[in-house]
Amino acid sequence: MKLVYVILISISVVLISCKKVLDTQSQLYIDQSQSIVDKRSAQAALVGAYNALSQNTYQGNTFRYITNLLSDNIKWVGNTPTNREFDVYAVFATNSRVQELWSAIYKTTNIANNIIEKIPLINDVTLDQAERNREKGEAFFLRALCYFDLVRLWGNVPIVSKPTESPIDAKDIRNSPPSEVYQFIEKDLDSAESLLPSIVDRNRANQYTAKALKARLYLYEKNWTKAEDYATQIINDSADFKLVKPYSQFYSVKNTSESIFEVDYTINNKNVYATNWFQNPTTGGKKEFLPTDDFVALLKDPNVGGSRSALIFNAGGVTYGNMNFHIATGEDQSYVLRLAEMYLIRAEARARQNRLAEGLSDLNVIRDRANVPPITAVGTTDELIDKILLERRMELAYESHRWFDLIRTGKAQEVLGITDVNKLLLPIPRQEILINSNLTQNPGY
Amino acid sequence: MNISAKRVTQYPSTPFFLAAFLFVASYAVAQNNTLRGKVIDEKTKSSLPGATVHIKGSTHEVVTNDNGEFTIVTAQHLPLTYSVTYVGYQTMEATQTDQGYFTISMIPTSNELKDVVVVGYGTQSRKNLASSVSSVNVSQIEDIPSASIDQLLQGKAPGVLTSANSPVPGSGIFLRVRGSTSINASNDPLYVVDGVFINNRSLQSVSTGGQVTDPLADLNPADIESIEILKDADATAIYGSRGANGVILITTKHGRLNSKSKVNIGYYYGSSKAPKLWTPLSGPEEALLQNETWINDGKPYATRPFRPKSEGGLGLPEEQPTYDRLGIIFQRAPTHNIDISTNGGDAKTSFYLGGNYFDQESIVKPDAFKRYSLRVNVDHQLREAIKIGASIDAVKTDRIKSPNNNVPYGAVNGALYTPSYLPLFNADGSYARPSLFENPIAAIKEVHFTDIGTRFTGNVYGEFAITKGLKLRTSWSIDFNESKEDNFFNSKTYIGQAPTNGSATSAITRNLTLINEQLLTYNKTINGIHAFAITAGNTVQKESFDVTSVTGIGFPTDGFSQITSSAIQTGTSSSSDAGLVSYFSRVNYVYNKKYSVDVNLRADASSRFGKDHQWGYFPAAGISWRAGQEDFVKALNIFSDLKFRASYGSTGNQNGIPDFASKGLWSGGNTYQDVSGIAPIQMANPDLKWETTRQADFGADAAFFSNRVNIGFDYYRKYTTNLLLQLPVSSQLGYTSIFANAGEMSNEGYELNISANLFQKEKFSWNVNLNISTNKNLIEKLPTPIIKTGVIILQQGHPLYSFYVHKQLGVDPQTGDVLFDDLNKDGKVTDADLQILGNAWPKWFGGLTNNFILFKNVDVQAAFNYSIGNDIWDNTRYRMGHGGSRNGVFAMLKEELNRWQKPGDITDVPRLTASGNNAAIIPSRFLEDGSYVRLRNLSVGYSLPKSIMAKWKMSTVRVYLSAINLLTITRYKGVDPEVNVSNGDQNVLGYDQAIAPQPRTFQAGVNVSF
Repeated sequence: MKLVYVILISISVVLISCKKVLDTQSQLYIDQSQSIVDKRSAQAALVGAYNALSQNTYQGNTFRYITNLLSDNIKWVGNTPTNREFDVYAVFATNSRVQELWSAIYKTTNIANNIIEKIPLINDVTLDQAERNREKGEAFFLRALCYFDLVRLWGNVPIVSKPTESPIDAKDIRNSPPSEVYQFIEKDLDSAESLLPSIVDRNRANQYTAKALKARLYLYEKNWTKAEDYATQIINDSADFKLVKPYSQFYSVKNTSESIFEVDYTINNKNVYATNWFQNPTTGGKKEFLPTDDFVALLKDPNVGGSRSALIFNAGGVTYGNMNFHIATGEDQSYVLRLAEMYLIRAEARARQNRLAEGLSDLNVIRDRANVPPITAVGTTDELIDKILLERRMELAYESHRWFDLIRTGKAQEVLGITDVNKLLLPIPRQEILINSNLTQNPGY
Repeated sequence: MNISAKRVTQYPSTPFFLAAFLFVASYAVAQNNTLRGKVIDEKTKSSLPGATVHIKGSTHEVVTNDNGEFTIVTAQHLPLTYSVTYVGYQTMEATQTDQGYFTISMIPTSNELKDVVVVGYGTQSRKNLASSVSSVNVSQIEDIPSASIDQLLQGKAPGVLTSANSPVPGSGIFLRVRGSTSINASNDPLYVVDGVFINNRSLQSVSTGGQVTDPLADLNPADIESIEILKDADATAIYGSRGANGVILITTKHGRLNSKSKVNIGYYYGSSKAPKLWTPLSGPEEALLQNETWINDGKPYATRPFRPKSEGGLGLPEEQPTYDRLGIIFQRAPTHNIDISTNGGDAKTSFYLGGNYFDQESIVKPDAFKRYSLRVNVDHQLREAIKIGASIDAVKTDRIKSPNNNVPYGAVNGALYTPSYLPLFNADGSYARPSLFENPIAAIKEVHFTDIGTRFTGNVYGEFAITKGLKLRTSWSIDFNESKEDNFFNSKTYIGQAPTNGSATSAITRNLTLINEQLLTYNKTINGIHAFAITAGNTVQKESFDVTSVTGIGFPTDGFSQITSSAIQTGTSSSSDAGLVSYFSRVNYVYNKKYSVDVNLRADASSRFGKDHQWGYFPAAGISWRAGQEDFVKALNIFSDLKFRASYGSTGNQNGIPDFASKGLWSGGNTYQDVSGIAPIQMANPDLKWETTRQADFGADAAFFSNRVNIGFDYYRKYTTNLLLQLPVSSQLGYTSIFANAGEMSNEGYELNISANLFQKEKFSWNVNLNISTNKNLIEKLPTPIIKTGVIILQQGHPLYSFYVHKQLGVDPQTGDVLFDDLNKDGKVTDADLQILGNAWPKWFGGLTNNFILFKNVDVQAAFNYSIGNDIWDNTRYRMGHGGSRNGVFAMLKEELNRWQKPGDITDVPRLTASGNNAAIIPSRFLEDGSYVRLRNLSVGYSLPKSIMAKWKMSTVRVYLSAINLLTITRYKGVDPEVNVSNGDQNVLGYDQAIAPQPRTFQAGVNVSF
């Protein structure tokens, strides 16, 4: 009968262990119900949101990759046909970079949505109201920044303002007209401005970043007085914000006084942007970007480029682009907002209000810093606007402005030689259209 | 059934007589009868040690000794009927009527139709088998120098589709049994060695950019006794949740009771080489075409790139040098293999000890694979009712790896893609990387990448005979597998160059599986007509998978390679675990050896699914009818045997999805400014459940001409529902995909296996085995098409592995531009004009094996395998056929010389230009027919004659020569039609991207046993 015991014992051992075997817990991840529940996890979620903003598929690389190639400052000399599509304004809806950028931006907004929704529900006495406000404010700013990029690139984008709980949440997602998206951004920036403290932190959102982004938003919305007003608020705070000299100083050091918001990278969170610019063995990259010939000529012109000729360098008979990414550490910052842009926003806003002299003086601040002779007089608003646009092209050369500047001023087709007006918006990724039948593709794709 | 029995008068030897006397003396009171005899082979008359002799109508059975002799002391009286069984022979019944020495002759079973086959949790009689099981003849694959067993299955079993991924020894291959049933869950079959599940998950943590290590390379092919492939639901349902992709049962060699210990030594040496390489343009040709592109693009002649150096150019085309880079990385690679084993047994204990050393270099430097393995199999009859045993397999593998496949910093890309006029070294003597790619010399000399694997598989079992026919078996197993990977890219490499200054990674990956299993079996035959076999059992399995890895960059000099010496160190670790609990049972009933019925049921619970969906139930049933036993069929006098089979059932799949696929998860480590943040990583799906495959199978087995010709035929249809799918979701939700059950897929096919003993003469025999299989795969339902990198699409209404490109109609003779098929007639080439133009599934595939024996001692084998009707996307040609758009970066192939040059030229290679659709749109001219027939193995062996062997006191000495991949017939333009760059994506097949060909190997070996 010993045998029977052996059988009984072994079977009972096995049965007891069954429940344990099936009840496994991940040690690598936490359950979503435990995600934002106290002070530390709220802080961590906000860090996660900045990480999402900084990822290579967004600010780290893809956003800058696409916007730079679409501009006339950079030409594509690489090897993957999908990347070339941006340079020749023939982007397919299946383009993988379009898809990855789209997904990355919405990933960032989803974290922001989680923070905005869940922070008020946290039951943790150590998380005081001031901190709750700041964290929500940062999330509002990040969400506004994301939607600003979305609406500028795609136009009719869906607005998702609630955190995702399950796949069912997708059923009501549909395109919103750009006007609605701009309203949404403005509202988020209003919230951010009121919630955020006025403490300078050039790597995270605060009241200054909210104001600076508002200046840009009103410029796009052609609300010249408000654009001027918000730009002035930053410019006048000279204790915190000053232009640095020479020009190259602003990118050769991190967090200069000129910087309003720059996405920071460290050894633990690197970007691969530099690999687009240089070929082996200079720094170990793919060499897909070279500055265009006319851009190089302008930079070399002392009356246009001035000290901004630092944006190029010559090696082995080839002219390469140059900026903080030249030494490919992957830790180079991505500039989102800086003081020079504020001057140029105000110059443009003033010019549009026919205050040419004031506009010109703002323009000359920037020219002066770049060691370019000042412009003494202009005849018409249009003439000044053209000069400001050229200045923006030089001053903000690799900072993702040029493509949008040409579009918002209605000059893109003429300058870039694009025959099809539909090509001024990117296609919504084909996969998104296939998945969600409520979503409409942009015309022409 | 043939019965051969005769009486032989012979005097027993003295010791035997003495023993018998003592026996008789001590049991004289019981009136016992002592019977003696011998079991021999009918033809060779050699004795058969270890045969089981059973007295019919009693429980009494003995095993023959070293000399094939048996002694039975029984109370029963003559006449007695013996039933004798011996592996590889037909079961004999012989009746002894008179006292005396009794000899029983055994008839070997034909090679192809073994009488007993191994099935899940047991064995069954081949004759009454209702399910579809293929047995692989291990002797047919002995002469092929392959590191792992899965590669040896190629062309050997109907329904098994294989494709090698790379020529790197010990790396994974693509293997499917009866098609693919899943998109995101695993499509690999379940491997079971001696009844124990074997982990088939690669432990590679540090990517080499392509090939993945193959855990099956841990198993020494020489330790294998037999391989059975379970294919239909009746055979696989007992493995329930893991059976959907078929089951490969491997039985290792065991010793035999009462047999003299035998020692086997085998050695072979092989030499391998690439049979074919790519042909890039020479330097002058490359320069000529680059100039032509320049002119075609409307740029001035005066500034063409290859103009005289005095004019600031790179020199005239004819002045360009040609550097052969491919020759640098390819080599003639040696293989050494030594196997030493011994096996034997006494009355109670049997053993097998096996040792192996295998050392193979790759034809592409510097990869290599070494294996040291030891196996011990011991079985012991502890008490009359208790049997115990253990199997231990200890293996160490040493791999030298390199980024060899499709990665820019790999040797093959560096050697193949860099245009040939560009120099290998800079003026200062350093490695030149004039294009995007690594310098091939640096890739093979400056990269140090090792992977040391340790595998321990141990199993202990106890078997208890409770009552007659009822047995309990309990078994406990550990499968421990660890891999330690170390790499160092010094400062002279692409990855380690300044400012990195050397990069090293060290990773330890550990996969531990614990399995406990109880098995109750009950066998009963009533009145000799009703045979029941009942099996029931349970399994509990726990698996954990851990990775710890650390990377260091910034080494002081290249002399330091340990991470301690580096400036910046980063580390990571992760772990995951899963549990599986199962109950299973099978009832097998055979009536009068004619009709048989199987019923299987398995219940599995997996921790990977939502709480309410953890349990899955998988039933199956099969029936067979041995029509050959019916009198009316016998009367036809056509068949020596005939059987019909049918089965239906369901199996499941949960492998290959992440351990926590059903949960909503947030991850840590999302750093910003060196602070770790959290972010959502996976959307919850509490509804996640098993993927289920239902399969119907109809088969027939027929034998003709006294079993000399055997034909097996199967038709099957598999239908998979609730496909485990990484379903794309609206990215606007913040996630790109979710694990869900969505979609359905089917596989349908025919399998035919013919084996024939064409000649059976004393001086010449010829056996031939042909198998032909088809499989038609179809994605029946898929919510949204999934577009894979490049040209692969998964779309409802089309099979997996479909190719999706713009169709090239030709090249306009007037303009030299590619003419694309404009599907929607809008005059533009857009996404809407993409078409599915083929897929990687062969229409027919299989193998043909011929075995000859000449003059008794010479054996010859010629084994072919083939694949007909499959397409290959030749991305190597596409990349190199860039038509000028990637000049100076990607080399071009010789075929580019056929480009369009002037109006009127008829060619399919368009005008060279960097702009326009010729360069921008992927054309279908790189989609090719990948059909091939390959002489996989041609070998000639010579066995020394028996007379010499007897003198030397040896049992066999065989020497042989073989040639692997000697001949390939194909129209495929790449270097090898058997190609696949999987990059770990199982939904990619037939995608050729800078993959070196399968080697051609010449081999010489010797096998000795004594």
